[in-house]
Amino acid sequence: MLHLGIIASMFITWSHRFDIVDQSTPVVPVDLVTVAERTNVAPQVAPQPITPPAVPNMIEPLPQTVEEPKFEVAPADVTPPVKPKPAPKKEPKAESKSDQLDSLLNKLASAKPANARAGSRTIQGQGAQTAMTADLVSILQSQIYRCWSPPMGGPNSESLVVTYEVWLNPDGRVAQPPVLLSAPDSESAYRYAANHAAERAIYACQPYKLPLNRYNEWHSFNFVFDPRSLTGQ
Amino acid sequence: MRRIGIAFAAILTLTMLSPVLAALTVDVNQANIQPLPIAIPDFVAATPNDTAAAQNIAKVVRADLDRSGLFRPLDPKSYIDQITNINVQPNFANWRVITAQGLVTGQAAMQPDGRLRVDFRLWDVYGGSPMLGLQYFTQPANWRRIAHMISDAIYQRITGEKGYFDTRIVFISESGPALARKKRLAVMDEDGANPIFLTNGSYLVLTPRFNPATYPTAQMIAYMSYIGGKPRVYLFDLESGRQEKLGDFPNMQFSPRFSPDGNKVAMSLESGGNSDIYVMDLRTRATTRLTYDPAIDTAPSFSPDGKQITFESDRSGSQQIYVMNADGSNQHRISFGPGRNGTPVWSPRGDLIAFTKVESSAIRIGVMRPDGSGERMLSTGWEDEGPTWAPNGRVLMFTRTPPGGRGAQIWSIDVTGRNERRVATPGDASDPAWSPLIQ
Repeated sequence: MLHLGIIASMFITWSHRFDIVDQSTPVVPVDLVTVAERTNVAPQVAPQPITPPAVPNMIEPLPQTVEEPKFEVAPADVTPPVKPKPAPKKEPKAESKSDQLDSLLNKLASAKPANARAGSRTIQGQGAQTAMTADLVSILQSQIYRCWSPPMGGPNSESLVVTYEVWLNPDGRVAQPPVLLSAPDSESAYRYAANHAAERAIYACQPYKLPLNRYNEWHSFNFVFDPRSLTGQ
Repeated sequence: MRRIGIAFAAILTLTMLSPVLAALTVDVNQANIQPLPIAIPDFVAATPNDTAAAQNIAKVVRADLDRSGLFRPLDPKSYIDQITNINVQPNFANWRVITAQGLVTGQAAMQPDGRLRVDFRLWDVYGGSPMLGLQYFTQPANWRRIAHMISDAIYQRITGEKGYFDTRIVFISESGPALARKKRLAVMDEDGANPIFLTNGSYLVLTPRFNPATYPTAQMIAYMSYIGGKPRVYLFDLESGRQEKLGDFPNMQFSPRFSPDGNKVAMSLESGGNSDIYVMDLRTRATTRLTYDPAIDTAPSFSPDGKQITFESDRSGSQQIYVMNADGSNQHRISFGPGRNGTPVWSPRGDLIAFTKVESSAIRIGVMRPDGSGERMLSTGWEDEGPTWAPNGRVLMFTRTPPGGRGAQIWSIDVTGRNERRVATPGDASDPAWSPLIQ
């Protein structure tokens, strides 16, 4: 009974964390209106690729580092010659059913070699980022950094290291909300800002382009956002 | 009972195991510092009479966040969705597609008692969750301040730092021909709105400084003036318009600055060609002398805890920056770089001292830590001087004089060295001083 009570009380306290949304209950009909408007304006979807609006951008982006080409090379070396996913997709956004089917089929096809190499996988488990996974790390690094814009200039902003556990679908999209493994939002306003900047980066950079035949290696991993070596402080 | 216990243990084990399963660790050591794309549609007007307020508030919030350089408000023309009810969760897909990462929705509604009620929400577009929701009541004439307070709240939620939009700038407005230049004390909102002249220009005014203490009022200024041809320090209460001479000294009195609690003013007093630093207690009007060096000691500025004072002195042969305890003990030099260094100003955050560096090629604004380490130059002008800190210690304003020496301007820059931009002023302007958050 005591356990039941504890579990029940956990649910009760959690439900209070979303006070603001509470008011949204009576509004289902208005949602329908919104949907209707969107369909009316559907033709405007065409100009969307041009979305960067001409607001002057006064922050100068960091100079592109030399490592970028290196990252680009790494995947090319490692990616298996088959790499069926990017080829049929002209636009990353297009997610037709046939594409999903393709990726499912590819996943099935790649499942066998993964099983065949089961022995080597246990060896990897001894320590992360061995030679087997170093290339995947490079691929992910080369993609995520473009989307990460942590708060800078705070009193100790360089010390706010943020770690998220991430799960990806075979199509490279985020499968479920990333889980924060480092200090929680409640620590400080700076921590809240750093955590959310990292979370936005994870979403903003999807879909991640990774070798599908090694999905078992990258379906789940940890991103450690470490601003200590960033320049421009 | 036992089953529940076992299930609970299993869940615990799974939770503990999950980080182990995620064997791949990706260290992200590089970033792409970009302003946050944010959508701020016009606020919803509760009645047609509220339309102007609803639109104006959103416009000011967009301008505030854009000016900070940390946000990129998206052009409302690019929006494909409309907000018609702020109590409905937005359709995030429609905001994701225009690359918005943040979304601000709001509503303005005039109340039966004549007050304006403003609600707003900040949404995380990717996470699909609310980040902030606040409500304000005010007199309709104060809509601008409400907009600035909303900007401050958004800024703090996204960056972790307090904002600085609900502040004012006091400065010297310059007008007229070169030989008969009028210098008037003026004050305006941080975004350049509501400029007001405080003096009529019949006498010279210099070095206005805001009282950083917000109690009992965040509206007190100290400045130096030549009323009657005598250089003296005055206090000016913006609310009452009352001016008051600070003490009665036989010689020149200049370079005033308040202590963080607002109870003292540090300043320079000149005597026989030598100037030293004194502190006056505003309650007792008692004056204490802090430096006794035969060199020129001036430009005092308190640390935010009130325990130390940074100042400039030429006791080493050239103008350099020093730090001492608030009682005058432990005076030591902290600037050793090339050139001359002056006008030190301690950051309200305490971590940095801003200063003006004079080198043969240029005069520029820089920052260093209070121990003199970590010196770096920020501004890129030809003649930039006289820094003043935003109350959050994150942004600086200063005077920029273009080559040729005419047409002084006020500029601002982020403490990271980014977002250097001109501040809108009515005519030529110099010597800005930032107020604390009005609140």
